Amino acid sequence: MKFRNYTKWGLIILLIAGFGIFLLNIIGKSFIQEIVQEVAIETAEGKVFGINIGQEAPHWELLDLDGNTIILSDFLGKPFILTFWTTWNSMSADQIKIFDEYLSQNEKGIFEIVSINNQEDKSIVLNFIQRGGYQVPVLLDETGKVGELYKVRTLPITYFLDKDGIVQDVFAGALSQEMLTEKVQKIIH
Amino acid sequence: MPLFFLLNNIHFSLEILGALVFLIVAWLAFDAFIIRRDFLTVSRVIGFVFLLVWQVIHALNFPSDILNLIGYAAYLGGIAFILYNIVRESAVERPEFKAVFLLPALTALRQPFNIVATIGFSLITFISFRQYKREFKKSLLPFWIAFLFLTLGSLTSVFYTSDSLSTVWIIGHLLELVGFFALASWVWSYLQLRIREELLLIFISFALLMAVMVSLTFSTILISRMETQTKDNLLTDARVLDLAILKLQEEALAKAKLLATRTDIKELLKENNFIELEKLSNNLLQEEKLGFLIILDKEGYVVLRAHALTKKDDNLSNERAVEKALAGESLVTIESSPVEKFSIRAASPLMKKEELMGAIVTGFPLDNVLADSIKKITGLETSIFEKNVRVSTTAFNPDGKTRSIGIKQTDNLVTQTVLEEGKDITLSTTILSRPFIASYLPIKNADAQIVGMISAAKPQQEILETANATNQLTLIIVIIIMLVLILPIYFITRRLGEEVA
Repeated sequence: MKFRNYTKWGLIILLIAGFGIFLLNIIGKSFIQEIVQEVAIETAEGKVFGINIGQEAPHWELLDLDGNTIILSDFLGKPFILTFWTTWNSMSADQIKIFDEYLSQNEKGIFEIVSINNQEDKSIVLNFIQRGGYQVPVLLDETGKVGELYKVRTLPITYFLDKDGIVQDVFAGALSQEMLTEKVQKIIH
Repeated sequence: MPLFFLLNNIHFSLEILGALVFLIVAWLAFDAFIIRRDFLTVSRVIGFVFLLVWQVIHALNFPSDILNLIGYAAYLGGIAFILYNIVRESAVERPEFKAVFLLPALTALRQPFNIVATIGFSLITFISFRQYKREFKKSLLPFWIAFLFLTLGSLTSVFYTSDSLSTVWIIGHLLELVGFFALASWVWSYLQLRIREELLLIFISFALLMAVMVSLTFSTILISRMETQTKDNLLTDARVLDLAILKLQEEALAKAKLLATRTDIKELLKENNFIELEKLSNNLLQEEKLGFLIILDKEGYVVLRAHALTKKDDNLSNERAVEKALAGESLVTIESSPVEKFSIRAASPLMKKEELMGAIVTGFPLDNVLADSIKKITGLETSIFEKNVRVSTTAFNPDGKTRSIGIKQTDNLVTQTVLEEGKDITLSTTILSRPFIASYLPIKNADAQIVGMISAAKPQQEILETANATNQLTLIIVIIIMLVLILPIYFITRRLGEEVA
C-alpha cells in the first residue's frame, strides 16, 4: 500500500514538473527575452555599448551621399532610428537590407531611419547603396568621431530615439524585421 | 499536383472524417443526456463537441493565430472533459495512474500543446483499457483501441510541424485514420438499433463526403492551373535575370576596354604615383558605377583595388580574364577571386605603344547586394550558386537576421539538369521547409563552361491559401445546406420511427 502511495506522489510531482515546463515553454520565453535585453544594456554601470537610456543623444553634423550637411536636430519632432554600419561587416550590411525591406513594407512618415557609415570611403558606400538600390538614408562618418561619441564598439548597433532626441532603446547586433516592428511600436507609443 | 498539396488535401479529408466521428459520438452522448440529465453525461457531450470544433479548425488550416489558439484550447478542453467523464464513470474502482506515459513527453518539449494532448489521450486510453479489463465491457474494446491509435497519432504530431511533411507526418495521419475508424465502429454498435439516428447520420455523412469531394476537386483544379501559370511566369522572370547578367557582362567588358585607353591611368602607373592613382580610381569607381576596379602590373600583381585599398600585392595572373589580358586581349568571364569572390570579371590590357604595362580588371560581384537589386525589380527571392553552393541570396534564415548562404543544393534533379546538362528547370520545391516554385538557370563563363546557377523563387503560400479558402467556403456552404435540409428529414424519420413502432 505504501509503495503505491509513493508512486502516486511520484506521479503527481512528475505531472506538476511537466506542467511547469509546459508553462515555462509558453510564458517563459517573453521573460527570457526581456532579461537578455536588460543585461545587454545595463551591465558595466549601464554603459556597455553606448549611451544610457534616457540620456540625450549627442549632437552631430555629417555629410550625406549627395554632399548635403545633415544635423541631428533636422530629425527632431519625430521618433527616429539611428544605426551604425560598414559595408565590410556583413551583419551590418545585411541590416541595411532589413531596414530597406522594412521601409518598403511599412507606412512612411511616422518615424525616420538614418544609417551612419563608419569610416569608409564615400565611393565604396555609394557603390554599395547604388548597386543594391537601397532606400535607407546614409550619412558618412569618415573620421569616426560620431562613432566615438556614440561609443560604437560592435556593429551593427542601433539607437532608438524619441521625438525629443532622447535615447529610448539601444540594440547591439542585427535586428530582424519582427524585432524592428516590436521596437518601433514601443517608441511610437 | 505536387506532393505538398496532395498531403494537404489528405489532411483536410481525414480531419473532416474525424470531425464526423466525434459528431456522432457527441450526438449519442447528447441523446443519453436527454434521458439522464446529469453533469456526467453532459461532460462527455461537451468533450466530444470540443474535439469536433478542434477537428474542423485543424482541417481548415486557418492562417489566423487566434482561431488556432481557440482550436488548441478546444482540443485540450475536450480531452479534459472526456478524461473527467471516463474517470467518474468507472464505477468499480478509480484507476491508479502510472508514470509510463510521461517518458515521451519529457523528450520533446517543442510542442507543448501536442504533448499535453498526447498525455490526455494516453490517460483516456489507459483508463478505458482498465475499465474494459475489470468490468469485462466488451463494447469498450474498439473505444480504447481507437484512443490508443489517437494517442500514437498525436504522439507523432509532437515530432513534426505543420509546415514540414515527412514520413512521420504520413505515419501520424495513418494512425489517426485507424483511430477514427475504430471509434466509428464503436459508435456504430450503439446506432444499429436506432433507425432514426442511423438515417440522419447516413445523410450527414454522405453530404459531408460530397462536400469534401467537391471542395477537393475544385481546389485541385484551381491549384494545378495556378501552378502552371506561376511556373510559366517564373521562367520568364528567370530568363530576364539571365539577360541582366549578360548585360552586366557586356557593360563590364565595355568599361574595362574604355578604362584601358585612359592615358592618365597609364601615366600615374608609370610614375608609380600611387596616391593620385588611388584618388583617380576611387573617382572612376563612383563615376562609372562599377562593382570593383583593380589595376594590375604586367606580371599580374595587384597594384591597387579601388574598392578595398588595403588588399593588394597578390597575384591574379592565374585567373582566366587576367591571363587573357596579360596576353594582350580583353575578355569577360564569370569566376571566383579571393577578394571579390564569385563575380563577373572583365580584364583589358594597359598598353603603352605596343608595350604591356599591366591590366585593368573590373566588373560586378555576384553578391547579396546584386541579389537584392534583382529582387527589388522582380519581387522574387533570388539566389546565386557557385557550382552547387549558394553564395548569395535574398532569403534570410528563420531568425530573420542572417542570410541563408553556404548551403548546398542537393536536389539531384536540379544539379543534373542545370549543372551537367546546362538546361533551365522550373519545379516545385521546399526551401527551409516551405513550399516554393523555383526556376534554376545555368551561369556560363567565357569558355561556355557551367560555373554556377541563378535561381528565382516564389513562395507557394498564396496558392495554398487560395486552396484552403476554397475548401473552407465549399464546406461552409455545404454545412448551411445540410442544416436547412436536416429539419424536414428529422421530421420524416420521426414519423417513420413512430409508424415502425
